[in-house]
Amino acid sequence: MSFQRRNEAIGGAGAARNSSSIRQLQGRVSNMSLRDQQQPLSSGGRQPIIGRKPISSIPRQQQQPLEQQVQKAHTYQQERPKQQSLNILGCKPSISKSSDIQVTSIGSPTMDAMVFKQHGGIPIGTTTLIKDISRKDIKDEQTLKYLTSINYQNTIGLQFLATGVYHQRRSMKKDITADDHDTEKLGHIGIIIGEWIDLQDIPGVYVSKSKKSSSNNDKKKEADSIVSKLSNVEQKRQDLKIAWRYGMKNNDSLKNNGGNGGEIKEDLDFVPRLDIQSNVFPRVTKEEVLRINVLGNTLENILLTIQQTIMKNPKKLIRLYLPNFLNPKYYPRTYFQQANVIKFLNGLKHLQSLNESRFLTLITTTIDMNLPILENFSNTVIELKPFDQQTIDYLTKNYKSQGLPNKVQQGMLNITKMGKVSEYGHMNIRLNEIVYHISKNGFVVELWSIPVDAGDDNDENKKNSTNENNSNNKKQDKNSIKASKSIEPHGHDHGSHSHNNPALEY
Amino acid sequence: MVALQQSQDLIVFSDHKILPKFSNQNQQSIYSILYNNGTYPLWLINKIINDDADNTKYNFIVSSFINNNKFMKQNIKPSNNVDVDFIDLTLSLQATDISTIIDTKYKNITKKEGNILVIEQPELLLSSVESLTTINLFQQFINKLLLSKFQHVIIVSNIDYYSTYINSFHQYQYTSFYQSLQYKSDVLFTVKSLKTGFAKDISGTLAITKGGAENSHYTDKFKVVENEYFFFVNKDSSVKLFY
Repeated sequence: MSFQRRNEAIGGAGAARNSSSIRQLQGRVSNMSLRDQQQPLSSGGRQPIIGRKPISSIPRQQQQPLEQQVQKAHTYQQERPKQQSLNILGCKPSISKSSDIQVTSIGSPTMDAMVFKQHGGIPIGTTTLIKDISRKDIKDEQTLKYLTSINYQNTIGLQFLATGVYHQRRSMKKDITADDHDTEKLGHIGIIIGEWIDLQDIPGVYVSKSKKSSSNNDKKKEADSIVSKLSNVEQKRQDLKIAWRYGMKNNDSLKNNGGNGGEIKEDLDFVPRLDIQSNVFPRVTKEEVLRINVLGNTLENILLTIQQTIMKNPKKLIRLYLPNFLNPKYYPRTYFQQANVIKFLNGLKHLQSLNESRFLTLITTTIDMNLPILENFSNTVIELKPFDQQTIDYLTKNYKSQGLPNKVQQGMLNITKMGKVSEYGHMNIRLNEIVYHISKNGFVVELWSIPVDAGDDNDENKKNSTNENNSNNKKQDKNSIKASKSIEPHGHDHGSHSHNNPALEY
Repeated sequence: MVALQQSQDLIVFSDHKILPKFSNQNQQSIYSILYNNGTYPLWLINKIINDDADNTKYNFIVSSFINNNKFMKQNIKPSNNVDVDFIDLTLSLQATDISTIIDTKYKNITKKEGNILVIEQPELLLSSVESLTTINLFQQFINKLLLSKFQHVIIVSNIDYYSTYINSFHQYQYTSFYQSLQYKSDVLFTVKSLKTGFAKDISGTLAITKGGAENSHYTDKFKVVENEYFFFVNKDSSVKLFY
């Protein structure tokens, strides 16, 4: 009960702050209506079915075929004055020099750097499909394993949304302090399709323990009235400078910890450092993440709602997240007609091409439910392939012997298609190169390297192990610190390790 | 190693041409380009459109169910004199009736002579139109196009849906679509990625095989040259073929 009350208090305070701030913001934030803002933040319960509202407001249009609808959207879009260079927070040009692709973060710095290697982030205007290969592909023992590994997908999905929330909140702050900037900083809006994801679970930004006290002060400052903030613009700038310094410090500490190899630079303007054990504070509002329900809805209506949200937020970056797409646990039977699915995907792709500069989609699904047409309509296809239990045991044992129990990887990450690369015919299939695991900072990927063998293996391995093995082990011991720190060199020689455990060979 | 490998020309027929000769107006043919995920054969389409000096007498039309016109116009780059038109079919996936697509989208094409259609993933209609079968797709769509609008159709298809384990109506339709393509085509281009994953100097393999279509023109001197190449897509999208 006390928990509930606390939330209400947070909601109430937030709402009060919001409505007072809105008077100040009115002139600046042109794309938000006052009425929308004044709706109180959610007070603990589930959000009402948002999908219903727009449906009732468009009773006639529903009769029309979707093609006309989409075309209507097209003309609507054309009427709008085209804004070529949107200054959206958390976006940067792709590191591939060939074209003017903008990218944003998926919410995991390692994922941005390694999976989306060509771009340094997800290219905006593309659809990313993350599909989970259930373990039955490796061992044919259980047929309905697909319900087990959902959490990985949702971790990355929630990070995806959290990044959007983070940038959205930053954009609101910038408006207050950065008067000297001519350009309006634009935020993000998340759309999530599915009522089974608790928006409470969206992870918050990481606060390092040593800085916790000072950041609490910061939070208090945030909770103060905005008027005082405005009067103290200079002070605020000072604070920002301090925050910047903290950011730098965090950055250093991350490198020292060797968290993800140290090679990956942290850019807090691009991707926040998330702590998946914490929750976002204050709670996510409807303006930050819009939820569309699946039950009592149809794919056609969902598409229309997405379309309307895009129109209502003409400048924000839209992050659409479809978790557990077409999973029978959540999607009613009526969703499974392939004609409807393909029409939905087609419409989504069309919407995406209309809003190329500010719309991206993340779909997660399990391969058991996977329809190949899903891959066809996705620009990026990523497979998550969990290790079997034998491999996990082996890795756990070896990493524990090295004192790195948190480093145990959970599976392989394969890339079969990469947005804005594969379309042009370039080869970007990556198989068995990248591994993933969930850490405190969320979904982490690294290059695959087999750990140094602890030595006390079972008989089977002893048979294989020869003197050569021992000498090899010594060699590896020398490199063990380096290897365990993280990333093996790219030309890693699998052959020299293959005798370690036959189970590792697929 | 890359420098040592001699690059090869793409040869389809023994007279070093890529496209078939059309001696009489009623003659028609199908090429199939089959690819899997991650090896989108844009370069091959470009090559077919551009490689032949005689191509100026043809009129190319590029249609796709998956990529819209904007994408296609950006990436299909005809050389100077080659005439290429684009017809966007992406929204035709929203249609419920297959027969209207030809009437609405291709109504401006009145004569058949010299017209070559590049059509991408017509098999998606098997999913989007309810209870459409492969036979109907050929009869009502592809054959119809060949009969009245085009002399030559190049079908670009993603064969990831090809499966020997058939467990649904759609899977059966897709699989039989790919199978009948092999019988109906003059030439099959199979573009595959490497099974082992990424390599620095090879993108994949291209196999050229003769299809099952009957063609009275084939003689000892004029026939399909069956071959298998490695290909490598450079960063500037130029492509090298080699053995």
